[in-house]
Amino acid sequence: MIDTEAFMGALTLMATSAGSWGWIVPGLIVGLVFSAIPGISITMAMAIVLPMSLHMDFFSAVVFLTSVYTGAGFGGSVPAILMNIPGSPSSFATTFDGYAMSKKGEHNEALGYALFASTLCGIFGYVLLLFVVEPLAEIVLKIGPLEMFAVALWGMLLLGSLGSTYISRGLLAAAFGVLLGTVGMNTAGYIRGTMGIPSLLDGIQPVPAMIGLLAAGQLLSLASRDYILEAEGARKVSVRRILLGCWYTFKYPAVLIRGSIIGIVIGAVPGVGSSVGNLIAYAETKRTDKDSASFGKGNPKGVIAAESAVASAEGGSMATMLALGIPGGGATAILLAAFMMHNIVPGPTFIETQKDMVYAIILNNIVQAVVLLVVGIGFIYVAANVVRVRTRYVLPAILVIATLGTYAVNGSIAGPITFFVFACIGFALVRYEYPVAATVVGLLLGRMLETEFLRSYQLTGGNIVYVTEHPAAIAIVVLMVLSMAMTAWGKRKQLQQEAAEAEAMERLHQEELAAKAAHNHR
Amino acid sequence: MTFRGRNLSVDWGHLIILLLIGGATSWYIMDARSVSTDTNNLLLIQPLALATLILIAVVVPQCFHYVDPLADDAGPADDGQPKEVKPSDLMQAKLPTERADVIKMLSMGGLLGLFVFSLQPLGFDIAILLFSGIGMAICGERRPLPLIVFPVIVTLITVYGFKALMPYPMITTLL
Amino acid sequence: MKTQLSRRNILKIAGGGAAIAALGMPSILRAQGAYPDRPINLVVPFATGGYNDRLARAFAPYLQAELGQPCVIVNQPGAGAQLGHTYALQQPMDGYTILCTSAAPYIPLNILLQNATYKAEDFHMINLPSRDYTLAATTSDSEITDMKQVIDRLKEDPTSLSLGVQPASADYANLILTLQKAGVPTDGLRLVTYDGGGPARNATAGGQVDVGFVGGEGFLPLKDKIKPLVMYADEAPEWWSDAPTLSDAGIETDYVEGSQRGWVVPTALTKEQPEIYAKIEAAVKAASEKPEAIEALKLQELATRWYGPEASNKAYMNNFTKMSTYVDLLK
Repeated sequence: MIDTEAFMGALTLMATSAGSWGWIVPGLIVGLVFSAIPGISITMAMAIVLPMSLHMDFFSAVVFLTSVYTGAGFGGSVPAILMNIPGSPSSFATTFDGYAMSKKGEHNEALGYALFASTLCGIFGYVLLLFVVEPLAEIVLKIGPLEMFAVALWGMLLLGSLGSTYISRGLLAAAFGVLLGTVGMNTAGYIRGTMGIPSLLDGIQPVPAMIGLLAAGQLLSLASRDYILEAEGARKVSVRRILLGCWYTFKYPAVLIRGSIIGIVIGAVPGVGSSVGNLIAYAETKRTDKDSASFGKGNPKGVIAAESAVASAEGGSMATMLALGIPGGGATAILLAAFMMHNIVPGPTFIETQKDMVYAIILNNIVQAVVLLVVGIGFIYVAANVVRVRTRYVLPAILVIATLGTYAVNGSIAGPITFFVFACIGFALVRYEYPVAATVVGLLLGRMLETEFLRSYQLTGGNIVYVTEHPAAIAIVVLMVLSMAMTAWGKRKQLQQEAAEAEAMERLHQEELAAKAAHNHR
Repeated sequence: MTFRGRNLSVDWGHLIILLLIGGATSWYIMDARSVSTDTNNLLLIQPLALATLILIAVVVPQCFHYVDPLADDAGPADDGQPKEVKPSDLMQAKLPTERADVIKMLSMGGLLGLFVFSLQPLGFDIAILLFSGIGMAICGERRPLPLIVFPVIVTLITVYGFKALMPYPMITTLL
Repeated sequence: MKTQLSRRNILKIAGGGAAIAALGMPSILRAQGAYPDRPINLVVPFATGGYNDRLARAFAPYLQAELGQPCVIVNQPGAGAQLGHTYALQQPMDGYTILCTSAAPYIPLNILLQNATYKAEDFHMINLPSRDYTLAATTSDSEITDMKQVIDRLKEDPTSLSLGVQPASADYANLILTLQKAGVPTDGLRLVTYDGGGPARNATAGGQVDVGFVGGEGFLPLKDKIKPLVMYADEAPEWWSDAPTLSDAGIETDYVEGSQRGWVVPTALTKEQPEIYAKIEAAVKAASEKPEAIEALKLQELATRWYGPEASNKAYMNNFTKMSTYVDLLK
């Protein structure tokens, strides 16, 4: 597990290179600012600051870049909470309860919850990583299409918790979303539904489409309001209330731990990252909660669940990069490049021969998470002031930033056009009471669902026996079914209890009436 | 419209949306089938397209409502209890219903469309300037000074900001 | 097709409008100095983080030192590099746009499979330092020992092994060419398709698929997690000098080179502005041969070797011809 000698070595390394600690704060700020702008991805932020790190010594460069990474992990939740714009797919689930809280005037608390969940679970993720960095990497390579398909299905379960008046419309919205998500060239090389437009070969860009779908229902309707928040008293920005949100996060350890574990495991899988983790963590938390009806209406647990999965995913993908030398996504690819610039090649040999360095990197990330608490509070204090500005100023500015953000995703006008087309689709869906969130989930997971389903089919050649050779996939499905059955059972018991209570109350009431009647009669 | 002797109200907008979704789905699956009928192509999307069409068939009847003149008069039963105020549910976003609000929202949406398509022909800077100015006016700003100054600030900050942040070029006319 | 043409026209009109508007600008009044008098765009037709992006970012400091103007990395990802290639061709032919791309296999694939509107001859290779070859490999603890065994087992039962590969790629062509030559029926194979080299390699290293056919260079960090069976090359490349080549593995087959990555300009530039092109070529050459550049790029496992335009264009056109010959295999 943990190698004490290397651990001590790591502490010495940290102490001797104290100069590099100075890079934490600038790194965090860069990460926060970039990621708070929708469409600017973590990868882009890191690619742009990479040349700056060239002239630093190795440890400083790694500290700086991982600080950007850590900051960026949280920054996305700020526009998600304040304006219902998820900057990347990984902050989508944060919008559900985060923006609902904002609308209730609890934006201070919501940001506090998000910040604390993010830092606590970031720390938790890295602590866990300290112990399992090697075995985790081995496991990650064993995760195949069947397991991934099970994970994608699990993500789709979120649909079950989308409160729609009409189940049929919810399912239709989701199915339509999945179909949209499969447009373009699939993993087997077949090109469908592109209408000959080259930029559709890679599929519909999820970020502009997602922002568009959500914008129609929320952002545009701000035009008729004076402020984002109607009530004047609610528009305060208060450090006390931010801190209160931070403090209350500790009340939900189960939510934090569940979110972290989901985040680490899914974040470790190369190419998946945190975009599915937050959906699963949210859905699981909502489903197992006694008061699941309050989710989506401003329940802090929803914010915590989503953010915890996003933050801990960073640790997961770092594990894959350090232990295997393969980048889980664009951001770790840049980190990998930075490592190699300093003549250090991550991978199994790196982990064996330079364990103290690995531990030092992990420990430093824990320090970063702690520093993020302070920097983050300052950042959200500034950012939260957006609710105090009149919409006539804020709305045009937000729409400009969102549009430019969708352009920034790919540097092509296809982004803003996608944004607008999906805003129109979103408008139609909201107008006729379809849950837009279902379409977004379908869109985000559609490609993964098809790819992994197809690969599973290709591997088995349609032979079901193969499934039995993959205990992990079976385990995921069993876990999923079990968790659903247990909630259903719990709900039923709860309902029975409530019914019994109601009955008892009714009986009591009747008795009272009877007694009263008897009394009057006398 | 009357059906079986009762008044039937039809939600035409909803019906049109359903037809559009159905049309898009049918076109998509036909397009996919024209590329190849290989399982590697259709494994997920064919069954899913079928399911989508079935779901549309299930939803279509919801566009039709019997209008019962008696039910309208009755009104909700007043039991003296304060009506439960439903907290807003983000999963089920609601649009404004006041006529003036709807007009504001739709004109903002329309303006967004014009903005998106004018980015390249006009250059990002001019498009942003016009959009933020007209957008402010739609949101209710009437004072000339803010209407001129604020869009300029937005344009300068966003154009230079995004130019610094993005690894892509941005077509601008003046800046 | 029609939509594409109209899109291009719109772009042209838009570009024209911008140019007319720019005429009234003070910046244009500045006298046009000798090339280069403003920053040069290095267009990478892929997202940040990939090989070409890293190559461009690592090489840029040395190239700009030679050119005397800053080099700006411009990512234009999408549609298998087609959007970026189209973008580069649409820029004015003034030498301020240089592509850093995977000329092979993407330009041939764009043309042969994606109906791109350009031709292979529209691109001129300055230098293609990075060469990659298909590597057939298994996970390190697999019971498969060599490529012969793979072929024998597939001959007996084409479904006995699962094969991981990217569809419509040089790797796929090599896989099919090998099996056809060996007389293995290719329509009953258990092919598992991946939409990128990374996922295909991870699946190979983790034993998700029995044999993976994918570009070899990306396997380097995973070297001790896999067993190389055959590299589709005449001689092993310097970055993997002990990889078994086709002759080492005793396999006889024609093959397609995996990737050729490096520095590319539109051919039109070499014709319309030969002096400017000569400056660019000289700068790329000087930067590629600079010891510090070689040293710095080597650390990141990036290639700098100077082959020159003649050899690079020959390799590129060879690859294109071969890809066109085997295009039916790719569909």
